[in-house]
Amino acid sequence: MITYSHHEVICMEIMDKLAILSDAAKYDVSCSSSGSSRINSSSGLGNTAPGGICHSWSADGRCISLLKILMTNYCTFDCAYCINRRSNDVPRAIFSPEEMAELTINFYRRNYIEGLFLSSGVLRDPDYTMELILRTLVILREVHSFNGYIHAKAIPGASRKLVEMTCIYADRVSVNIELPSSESLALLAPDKTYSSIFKPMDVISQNLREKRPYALTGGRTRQFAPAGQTTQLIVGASPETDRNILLLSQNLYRKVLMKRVYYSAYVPVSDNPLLPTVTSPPLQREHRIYQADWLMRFYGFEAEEILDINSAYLDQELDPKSAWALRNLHLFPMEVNRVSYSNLLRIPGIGVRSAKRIVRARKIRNLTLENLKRLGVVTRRARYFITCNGQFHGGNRIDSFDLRHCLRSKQNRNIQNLQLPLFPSYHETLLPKRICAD
Amino acid sequence: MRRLITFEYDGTFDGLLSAIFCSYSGTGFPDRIISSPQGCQGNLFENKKVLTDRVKAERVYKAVVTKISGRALKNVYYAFLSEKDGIERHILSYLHLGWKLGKQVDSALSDPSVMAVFESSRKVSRERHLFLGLVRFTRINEVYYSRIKPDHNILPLLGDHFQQRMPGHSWVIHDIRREQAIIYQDQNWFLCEMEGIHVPRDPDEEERSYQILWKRYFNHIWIRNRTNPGLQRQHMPLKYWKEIVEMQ
Repeated sequence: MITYSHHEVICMEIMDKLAILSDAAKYDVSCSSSGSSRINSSSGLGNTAPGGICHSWSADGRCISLLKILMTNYCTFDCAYCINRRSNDVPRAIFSPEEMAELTINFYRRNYIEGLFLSSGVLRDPDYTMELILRTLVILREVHSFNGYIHAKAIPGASRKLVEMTCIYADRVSVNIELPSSESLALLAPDKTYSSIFKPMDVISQNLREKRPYALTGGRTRQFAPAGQTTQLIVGASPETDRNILLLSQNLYRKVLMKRVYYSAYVPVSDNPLLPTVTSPPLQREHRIYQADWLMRFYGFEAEEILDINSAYLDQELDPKSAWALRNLHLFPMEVNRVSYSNLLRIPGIGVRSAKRIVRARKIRNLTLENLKRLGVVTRRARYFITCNGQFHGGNRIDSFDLRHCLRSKQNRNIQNLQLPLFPSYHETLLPKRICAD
Repeated sequence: MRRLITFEYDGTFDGLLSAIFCSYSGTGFPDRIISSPQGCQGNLFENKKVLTDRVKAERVYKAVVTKISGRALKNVYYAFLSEKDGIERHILSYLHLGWKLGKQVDSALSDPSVMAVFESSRKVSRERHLFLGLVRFTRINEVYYSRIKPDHNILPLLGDHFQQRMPGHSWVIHDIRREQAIIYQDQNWFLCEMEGIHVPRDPDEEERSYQILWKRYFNHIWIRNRTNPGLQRQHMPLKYWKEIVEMQ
């Protein structure tokens, strides 16, 4: 007969809860621990690094920086795309705020994590759940003097006061839009309305705009969500096009002070007839959308430049910047020693880092193609679009079809055409409207 | 035919700065600068032993900071820690150019020595940042102990970060390749040699259960349809896996 020590019994319970609740949290792909810079106190535990720190990488190649977990996967909502939906028969578990805090602290001390990412299914109602999350944060900050990174989810429909309190104790707060149009939301997640999602977002962005620190009892102050807010969109669970998605993201960045939008390729977790039948998640599509998102945030592109009114989907063979360059060949070649930084960013093969280095290096001397290569420019691509001191190294001026062939990366040469999933016919009659956050 | 000149220094940063000082004191620039642990090579080269002199090192240190830039000093220190073959000679050329150009030297990336220093410095910086995340502590008798095996000598660059992170606990980070460690106790960390020191490594029951919890978590957040071991190894090279709890 096997007997277990008291300690072992407790561990087994926590072990099982951990398995269930981390499994349930993994589809929320936000993972960063950056954006907040907090110095520890001499008696506290932890600090935050402005750039964030990756502690490990899982077998799917994603970085692990935080303990990403659900408070509970009990849920009163029944969102079709979600593994934790009310109607799904899965084992359910719940952590107490004390257990959650204890686990976080012990992982943190061993340098497994940079902090906590806490989400939750909706237990009873949004406010009840929000309070559980808040209690965990308070225990961490006040009882354990924890100064590491905390990312908390705001539950759609939670009251203003609770959302604000959460922002005071967390570094980052997010509420996921998931579906890029209100029609899809109404169809697939009827318990969540667009206003229940956008209200907490507005609360957060209003407070972020005001930027004042919050005074707590005892004369200490805390900053309001120093790492800002983010959100997530699921790619491929509903019929919105890449253009719809990019326009929505652009709106979010401009109007709601969104720090980042995350895109999560739809992972089939249900055979609900309202969802597309896909055998594998549309990773390539997700990848292209991320590249387009980067162009909007760091390269000065507008969504309408990346996908104009006639193109609904991003080119799967070519990255969006190369695709844009091919449509705008009249702007090239550019002289690297003279054009502005923002123009350098438009050249395929030149990234933000290389562009900055070019600007610095060309002050000292005129740059040749060889110099550019040393600076980190992908000259294999860039040479078709630049001149170095008037010299063009792209061979004979070829037309855009041949150029396209040269720009395709080796892996993509074998890629199949984008196969759009077939949606049930009634979806095709719905034209997703443009979503504004106001 | 001029004999090739080699300077030999003791392998410390102060030693390197002393060698740089000597390069300017009349005998001309050396063709190579090597550290004595590596040993001398052949009699084709005339080896001049450089004695580490704190005063000389200070003067060079100051001359870098004031006449070039703080960043240049950081680049030089980091490049030194890379332990790359021949980096010392590049450092000398880099500084020589730096004393001519001032802080603009960091933009002169077309010069091979500037590039060499820049790249080595960046490699060290990258490895340091990676290890801020890869260090894994095991609690043994109230002390948090960790083993690492970095390519470059990043150990001295980890102390401040972990001191800030965990001021309330004693911890040790042990570089098993170089048999050195940094130890934190009583509000201070210091570097020390570990040759011949035996470290107890068996975790107790509670510690083992946290390790298992972490491994469990690690295995459960993996999304099966997105499996990509190549990407995982790209970020977290195989060579480091032995000391990482969840990869064992």
